[in-house]
Amino acid sequence: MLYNSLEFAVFLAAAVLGYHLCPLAWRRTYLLIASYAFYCTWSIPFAALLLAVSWLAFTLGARMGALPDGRARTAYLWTGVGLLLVPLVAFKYLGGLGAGGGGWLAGSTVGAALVAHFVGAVGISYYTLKLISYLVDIYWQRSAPCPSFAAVATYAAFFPQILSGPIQRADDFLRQVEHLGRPHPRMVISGLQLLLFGLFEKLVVADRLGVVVDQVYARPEKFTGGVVALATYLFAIQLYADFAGLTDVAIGSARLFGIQSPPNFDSPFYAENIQEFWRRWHMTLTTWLRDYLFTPVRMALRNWGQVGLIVSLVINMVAIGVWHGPRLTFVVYGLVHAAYLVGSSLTLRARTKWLRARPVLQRLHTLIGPLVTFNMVVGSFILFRADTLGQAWHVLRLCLSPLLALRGSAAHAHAAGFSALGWTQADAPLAVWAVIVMESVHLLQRRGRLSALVGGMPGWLRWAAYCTLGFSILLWGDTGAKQFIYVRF
Amino acid sequence: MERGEIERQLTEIFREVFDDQSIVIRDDMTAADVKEWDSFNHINLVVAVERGFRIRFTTKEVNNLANVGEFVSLIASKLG
Repeated sequence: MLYNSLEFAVFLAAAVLGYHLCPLAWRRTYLLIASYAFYCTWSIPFAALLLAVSWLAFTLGARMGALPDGRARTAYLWTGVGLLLVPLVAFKYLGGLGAGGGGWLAGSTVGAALVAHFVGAVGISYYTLKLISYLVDIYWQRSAPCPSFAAVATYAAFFPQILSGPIQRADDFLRQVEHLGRPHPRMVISGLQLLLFGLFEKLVVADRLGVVVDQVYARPEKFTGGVVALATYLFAIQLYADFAGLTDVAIGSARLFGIQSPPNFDSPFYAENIQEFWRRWHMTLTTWLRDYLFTPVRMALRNWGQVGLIVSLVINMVAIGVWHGPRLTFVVYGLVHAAYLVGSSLTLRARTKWLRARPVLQRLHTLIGPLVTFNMVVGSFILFRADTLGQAWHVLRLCLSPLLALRGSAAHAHAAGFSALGWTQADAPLAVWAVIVMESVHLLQRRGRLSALVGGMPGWLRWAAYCTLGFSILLWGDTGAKQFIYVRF
Repeated sequence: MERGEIERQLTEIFREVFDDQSIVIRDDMTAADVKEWDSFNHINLVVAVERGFRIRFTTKEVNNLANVGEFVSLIASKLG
């Protein structure tokens, strides 16, 4: 059941109605049952796995929390982290290797059956990270073990977040679940607004741009370098709209139950440098890795000077890449961003000093910085979209061909009309309008003005805005329930 | 060492690490208040503090710091 399907709309409406009719004392149990009912629509055996790993984290957390600092406590932590990683590696990486990358596992009958099963382990990348952070926080004495298994199980399985995050921290979630009450009407309304806007981002923006991206990336050699480059820029916006939409649907759905979730994006394409980009893109994953991987590794290597920084960054960024799946393109994607970050962080102080002495250039940098960063990110997204390194290299060469005047690409190219891109004449202006609407809302959100603006609108104008979004989804949204890109991870 | 002295020395370290002579630390100051204070510079800050005060932190201690006030208290506890 995908978040952009009619089935989910019906399920969510029924779950919210039941939740509000449910006595307060039963609401936590109700959320757990609703979450498992949702997960069982994907896979009943993997629901059992989810329950088992939740119990494992709960039990080990309780025992570790009762121990003083020492070897036994550390042994509990590493045992817990190791056991939690086993299903992730087995079902995501070994399964993924079989399903993609040549399909060596899918080649046999038994292998094909196994691969079919692996697909059911949805959300495993998200709930594994959640449960690891739960254990590490107890080990670091950041938080106490939760006394309720139902609460920990709900944390791992909470259905608005299970498919693709946000990766909320345990203490933040458990604190809210402990005091579940009647959500404030303002919270419910903001949840519904986010749901509507999230569907707009996905169905009107992401899926529309995805048509062109799919057409061009299916056979890039049929298009001119300029068109391939355009498709690559569109893919960056598609990926952002898709994941931001998914996040908004998740955060909005959670609010209907009175649960606040952390944000995942903060207008990342306006970042002035690559460090800032990673502070504003998929924030719950990057902060998770910062706290539980980068900082421990960097602390361990802190006497190595800049080499320690470089090694820590490479490990962290490759982990981000590999988190998306067992593909060489994701490894290289991580390495490319590690190189960006190393280059940027090692020169940042000198660049800042240089710019400070040149006020005019410094002012220009606020415009040039985001442009350069955006282009660096778009370039790296070729690796994200391509299936193989060979295809990524081919696409990169095509994108650069107008600049480098490469021969060969132009020889087979033809000027692509809208139909060749899979669009009608109306799609281009519609896509531009939709992206402008999306980015206007994001900028207002970033400046903290959206709630005040919407709240201050006369009722008729507010409803006109809702209706515009709603009718846009109905008229121009792709209602084929295409999977959100980040659900695959 | 007095808390005031720790704060004075810590201010100097902040100014050096973040290359900003205008920084004045406060107990409630967090990374959000200093533009250059990201996860990279956070460890540089920790290393500079370790060298400046001749003390050693664990990852747990570094990750559990919520603000500068807690940092000062941690340094004070290490100095005994």
